[in-house]
Amino acid sequence: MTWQYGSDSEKPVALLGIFDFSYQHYALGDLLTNQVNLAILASEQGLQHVDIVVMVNPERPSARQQTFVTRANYIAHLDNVMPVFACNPLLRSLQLIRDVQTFNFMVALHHRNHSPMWPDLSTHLKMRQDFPIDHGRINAFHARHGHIPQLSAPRGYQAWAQRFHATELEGRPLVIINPRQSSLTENPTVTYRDAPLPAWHAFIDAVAEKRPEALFVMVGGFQEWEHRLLLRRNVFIPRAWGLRLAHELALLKIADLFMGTSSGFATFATFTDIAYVIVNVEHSFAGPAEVRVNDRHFPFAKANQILTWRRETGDELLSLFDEVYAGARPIGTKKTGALAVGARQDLSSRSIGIDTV
Amino acid sequence: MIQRLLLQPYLLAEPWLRHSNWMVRRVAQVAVVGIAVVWLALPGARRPEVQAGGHDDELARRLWASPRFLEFVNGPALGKPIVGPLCRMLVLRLSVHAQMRERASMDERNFLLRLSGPLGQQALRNLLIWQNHVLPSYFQSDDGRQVDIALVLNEEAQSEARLFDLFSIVLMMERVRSFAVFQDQETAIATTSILLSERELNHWRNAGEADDLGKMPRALLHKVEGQGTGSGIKLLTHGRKYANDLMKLTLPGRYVLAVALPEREDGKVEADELEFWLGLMDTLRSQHPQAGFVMLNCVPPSHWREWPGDVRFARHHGLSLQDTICLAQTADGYLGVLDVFGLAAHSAGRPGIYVPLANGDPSGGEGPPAIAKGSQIMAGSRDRAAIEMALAQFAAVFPQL
Repeated sequence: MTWQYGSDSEKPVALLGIFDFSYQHYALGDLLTNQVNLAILASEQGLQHVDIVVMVNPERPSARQQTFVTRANYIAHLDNVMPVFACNPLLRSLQLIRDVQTFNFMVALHHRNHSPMWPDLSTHLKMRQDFPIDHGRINAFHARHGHIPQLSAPRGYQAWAQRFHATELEGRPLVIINPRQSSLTENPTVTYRDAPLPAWHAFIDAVAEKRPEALFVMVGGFQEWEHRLLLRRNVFIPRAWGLRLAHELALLKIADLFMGTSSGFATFATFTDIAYVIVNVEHSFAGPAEVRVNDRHFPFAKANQILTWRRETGDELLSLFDEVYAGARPIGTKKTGALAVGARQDLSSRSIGIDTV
Repeated sequence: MIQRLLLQPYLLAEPWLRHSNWMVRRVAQVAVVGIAVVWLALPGARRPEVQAGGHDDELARRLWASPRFLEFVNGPALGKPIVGPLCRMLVLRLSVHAQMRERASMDERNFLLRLSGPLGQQALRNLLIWQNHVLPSYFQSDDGRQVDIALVLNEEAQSEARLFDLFSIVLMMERVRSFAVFQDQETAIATTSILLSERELNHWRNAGEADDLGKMPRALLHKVEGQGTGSGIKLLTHGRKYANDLMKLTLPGRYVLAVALPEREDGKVEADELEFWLGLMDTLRSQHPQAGFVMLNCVPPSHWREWPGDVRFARHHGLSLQDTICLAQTADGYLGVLDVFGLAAHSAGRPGIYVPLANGDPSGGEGPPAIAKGSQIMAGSRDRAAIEMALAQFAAVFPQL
């Protein structure tokens, strides 16, 4: 039995990405940004793959800033975020470790063998990670190469999304929406940043008149929408059909447009090719993103990938929709029939369930 | 030699690490951390070889075995700018020593599974069966220890949208500690070989049918379909809460039967089966109006319609797969197939009708349905006449509220 493994002469082909939730956050956006960072790191080191290790110590399942994640409920939070790791475009393997000894052994041997690893041992030992995750490395990569790695649909879910879109959603143009609504969740935070739902509902109704072919897909936790959204025939809510984050991300990947508050879903859109409008971006994020407040685009964005920095109104949403949607897809001539997704009748009971990504 | 010199002062200081007196506690902590730092600096700390001929590091063993010491180094000290990284480095090195000792002395802990078929309802169920029936056979004396599993998916499974259902179930399994998925066996071995003993590596290379979630031995499946399985799946705190919330809010005062049916590859319920079971529910309701039903499977939008007023769909009310498994464990009864829901409900002692998941008649016409335990009726066949007979039996023993 030896301390070394493999052969020193063997050139590594994969970067080990470590997500240790004893100091990293259960936060969809940051985890997604780090998938892009990992892909860039691997690419710059000439590595073909990324192996991801997700570490949760059941005795210490969360960072100090996320005290609502406890020994009793960490499994639900972990279960919610796991699909994020399968969005890495270079993913080769995904390991979930819940044993400190095994995890430390793996990290120590990786370090000993000089195998590429993120974060490096020194950073890992400090148990520190700055939040939010900045765009420094991504912007620099874009400046050098003119492109950035794109996030994938979670492994195995791309084909599902295409089938589901063609059959259950009648191939209609998809407009994914995610207006922030933290006040409806079990752990409300910074509720003053919540989206004005009346404005969004008015916007959805206005689009129903102008563009009846467009289907709004409301993504996010089951608690984060008001029941009246279900009454609209141009709205599909994946979580009301038993679908989960992996399905939502896969639908987002094939969508025509994303519109929403800056959030994890907005981050996913940011690192894909789809047209998007991210509204009410936090001013404090300008620094980490290396842009100025009121800049209309991230440095690596395309013309139809737009940011706004103030609280949205219904008229503004409509105007942005007109600007970007028209560019995304010409007005369809296809006549849309009565859609099954509008036929839900029985969700009159109080919303229950979790989903706090 | 130096390790032996450090051992005595460590043994003197260690018992006082959690003393109620701040001064006593702090002195002990400083002493122990000092000793540990000296140990860390010794060359032996970087050579944790404990194979035959090598010497075990008594101090490292003692440090790792002390709950008081580990509680201290994993505690608030970890957050301190200088002490923190030092403590973490210490834990890292001690982990390596402990792991090497364990590899030299223990039975296998790492297991490689394959999936040769689709990643669907049967494969998800078979993982639980593997844990409860195959895993114990690998131990000379099964002490119920937790294990680490690596699963190699075939190409078919890699293109199916159930991967995270698999993770959801794994997180609920009592004996699975860590879990990894790989695209092929070579990658699995290359990636995790650092964690494997020679014995485990050999086992991985020669894994048999029982380790293939797509090819579970028929005799084992037959046994499970006749008798159910042991527990093996946790009732999660949050899942129990959401399951109870759903039942209290949507079917108050009803005798709630959880219902799980055969699924298509995408995880949606088979329409034909749903129609058949809706008829059975109607029959049961006509005899026992207090019955209410919660479907555990998802229904696709194209199959949605008006449902009877006492039928609810848990996944469509926002319950996750984990919550829904908890609902199967906590409802008043169960109707449906012996998939992961059925096995969870059966092992939780829920009365009801349990039907084999696979088509065909595994009982080989051995006789009528048997009441295995109280009012848990194992239909033994997917034949509809047999299920209807089981329903009549169940209706006869249905509790009067």
